[in-house]
Amino acid sequence: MDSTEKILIDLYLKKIGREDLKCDKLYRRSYQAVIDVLEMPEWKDERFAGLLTSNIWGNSYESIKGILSIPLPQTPKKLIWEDKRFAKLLTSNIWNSNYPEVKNILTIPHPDDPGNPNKTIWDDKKFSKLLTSSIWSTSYENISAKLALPFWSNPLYSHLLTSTIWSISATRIEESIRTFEELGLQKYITPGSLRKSSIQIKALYHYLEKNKKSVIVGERLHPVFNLPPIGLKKIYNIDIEELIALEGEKPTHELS
Amino acid sequence: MNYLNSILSPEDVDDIIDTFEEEVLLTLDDNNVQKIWEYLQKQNIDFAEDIVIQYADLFVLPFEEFVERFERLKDKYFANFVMYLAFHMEILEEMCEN
Repeated sequence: MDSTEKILIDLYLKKIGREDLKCDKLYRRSYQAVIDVLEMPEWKDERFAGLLTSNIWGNSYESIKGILSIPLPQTPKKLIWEDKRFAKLLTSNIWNSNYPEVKNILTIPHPDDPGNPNKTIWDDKKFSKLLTSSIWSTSYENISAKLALPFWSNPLYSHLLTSTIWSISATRIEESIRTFEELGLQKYITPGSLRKSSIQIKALYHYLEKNKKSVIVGERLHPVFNLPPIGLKKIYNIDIEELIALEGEKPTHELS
Repeated sequence: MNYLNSILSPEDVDDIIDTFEEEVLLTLDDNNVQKIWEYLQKQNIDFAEDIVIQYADLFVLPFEEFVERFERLKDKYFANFVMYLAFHMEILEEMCEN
């Protein structure tokens, strides 16, 4: 960026008392593009005022304007943000996404009725816990792929339909559930335990068995299934890498 | 993920890459990650590495939002929060919700 433009931007931010908006991405925008965003009338609306944060600069003026102006599908004269379900998603995390993605995510058709534009998955209570601002870190394509995983038709796994699934890879989710099923622990899977890999789960399971400790404690998985490697070491003196190495050394007929 | 590479071992970074969606990891901003990391250090959390490895997705949250949600968690579980968090890291799942 031209140093004159940088100085002008810095002076303007100082003038309006918003030096908190400075970041590397800011200076990839031209002075005029920055002013256009800062002078958007939307920031006077209390619904949107808190969204003017430094991570906005990854988006263009057009994308920002588009996001804030998405109409409510059934009542286009109103904004989608007037729907209480979506109003809670208005956090600065939204700038991790962009206008086409935000629009598509908010209007994902229900898998049981994909041709009906008036029915979205968000109309179904089963998916309501998925609708958090974490959704902005993922894409319409990823969301569709996750929702297509075969597990969600099983009522045993409905509690796993939380926004955690957006961040964890589909491979990991599938691997984790299948492993718990293999070990007969499907009843006890938690959103947090989906973060564990198959070999980590098996290594911990066999460790507990070998040391005659209960895998289930008070109707829940033993806490080790929710701890990362360093926590396992500090709290339980478990070296997960050693356990994984042992797990890998087992002859195939011994692997459960 | 340059900042994560500087604070974690290659094996831990590989663990993160295997666990999380690539598109989520691509939204990690080094400055943001560093600010959150330093905030956790100031909270006397000596297992911050554990949090990054298992909950790297939380580091996508803008710093201010991360702090707001973390403070809410502290208010909810107030007594000996840091010790409680060490033994019950799954409470961080609540930070994924609104």
